[in-house]
Amino acid sequence: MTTRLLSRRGARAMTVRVGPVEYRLETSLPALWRELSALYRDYPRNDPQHCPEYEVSVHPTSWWRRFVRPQINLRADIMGPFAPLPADLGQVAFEMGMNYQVAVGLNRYLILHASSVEREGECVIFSAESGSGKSTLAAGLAWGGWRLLGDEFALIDPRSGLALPFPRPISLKNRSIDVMAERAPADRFSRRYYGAPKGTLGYLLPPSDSIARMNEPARPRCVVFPRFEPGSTPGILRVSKPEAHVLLVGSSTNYQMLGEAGFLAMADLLDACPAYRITYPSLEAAAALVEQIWRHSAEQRQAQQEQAAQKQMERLDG
Amino acid sequence: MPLKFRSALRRDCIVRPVDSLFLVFFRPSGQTHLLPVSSYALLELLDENSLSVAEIPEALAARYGTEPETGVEAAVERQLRELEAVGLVEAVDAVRRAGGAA
Repeated sequence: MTTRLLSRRGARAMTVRVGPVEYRLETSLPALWRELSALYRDYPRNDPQHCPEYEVSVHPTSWWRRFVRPQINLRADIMGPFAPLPADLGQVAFEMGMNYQVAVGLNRYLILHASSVEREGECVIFSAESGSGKSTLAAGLAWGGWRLLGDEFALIDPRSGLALPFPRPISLKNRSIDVMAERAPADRFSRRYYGAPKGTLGYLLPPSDSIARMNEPARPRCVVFPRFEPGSTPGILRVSKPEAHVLLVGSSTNYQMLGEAGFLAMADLLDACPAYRITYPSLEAAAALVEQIWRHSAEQRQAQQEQAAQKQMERLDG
Repeated sequence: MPLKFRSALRRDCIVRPVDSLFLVFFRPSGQTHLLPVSSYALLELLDENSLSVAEIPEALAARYGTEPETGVEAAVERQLRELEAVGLVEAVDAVRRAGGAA
């Protein structure tokens, strides 16, 4: 691996590509560098053919803060309201900074705050607020035969309508870490980060296949609004297109910014995808519901195609 | 002279029907509006002709081949004012004052 000295004395940096986005990541903290290198070990790095789009760096807030109550600052091309964090949360800071660059700066795609998984060249988009279980659901499916496209953002190309993979390490919170620890190999997990803004965090490296195939987009087949509710009865409800539109616009970080292109991309997405709401008490129940939706959406599309073909025949006959 | 209203549906909007509603993207504001059939019918009507509140019930009835409803002017005006507030409908006088063509 190639590293280079940068503006900060002793700092090391790498370029990492995740799907269509290339980052330059820099830190002067050796322990953090080791964590970062381990978490991004499967991703294309330091490719001289690529130019990083976003820079994210994590450094001590001051020289003495390396030693006394260690504290770090997150710096990035697009600066957000980043408060200093305890040095132990350096990896969390990197992930926050990387997310923020995409959420605020990446405007060549329609960005939905959603996870997504692929099979047979098509994908399911799970749109939900933080804490609804969309990352855990995507992680569970990714380790159960589906390909992970992303756990945080779905990137929809307005020109083709395809969902582009953005398979960053999966961010798991609190109990979800234990849930996934039973399903994924131990060597794919980061250590646990206690005292993070959303509780205890852990990162799960996606299956190697999801990373290796991150240049392969998928056609959205259905949209699901998941809700994890302990003790609930598993259930599926159809969501009308107008309601799905309102929910998805609310989940998009750049719908307004994209203007007409965003409107058309969203309208095409909802034309093509039936939407559902699911409530589930466990990952197994959710996986079964997703299978049901997967079949139903295919049947529905086939029925629509047959109906369209029938209409065409009637027009020709008439 | 009663105030007349007009829309610029074909010029300024992109429309997608969704179930029984209409998604309307209004280019000048960059906003998306989810409209019921009645509001959309008004936009279509006012895209063809500038009309006053009093003329609208009859024009709608002629367009859809129904009997004109009476006593609906207040409801029509309320809906027009809502559409005007988001820019989808303009009062023709306002357009004249701004130097546009009526």
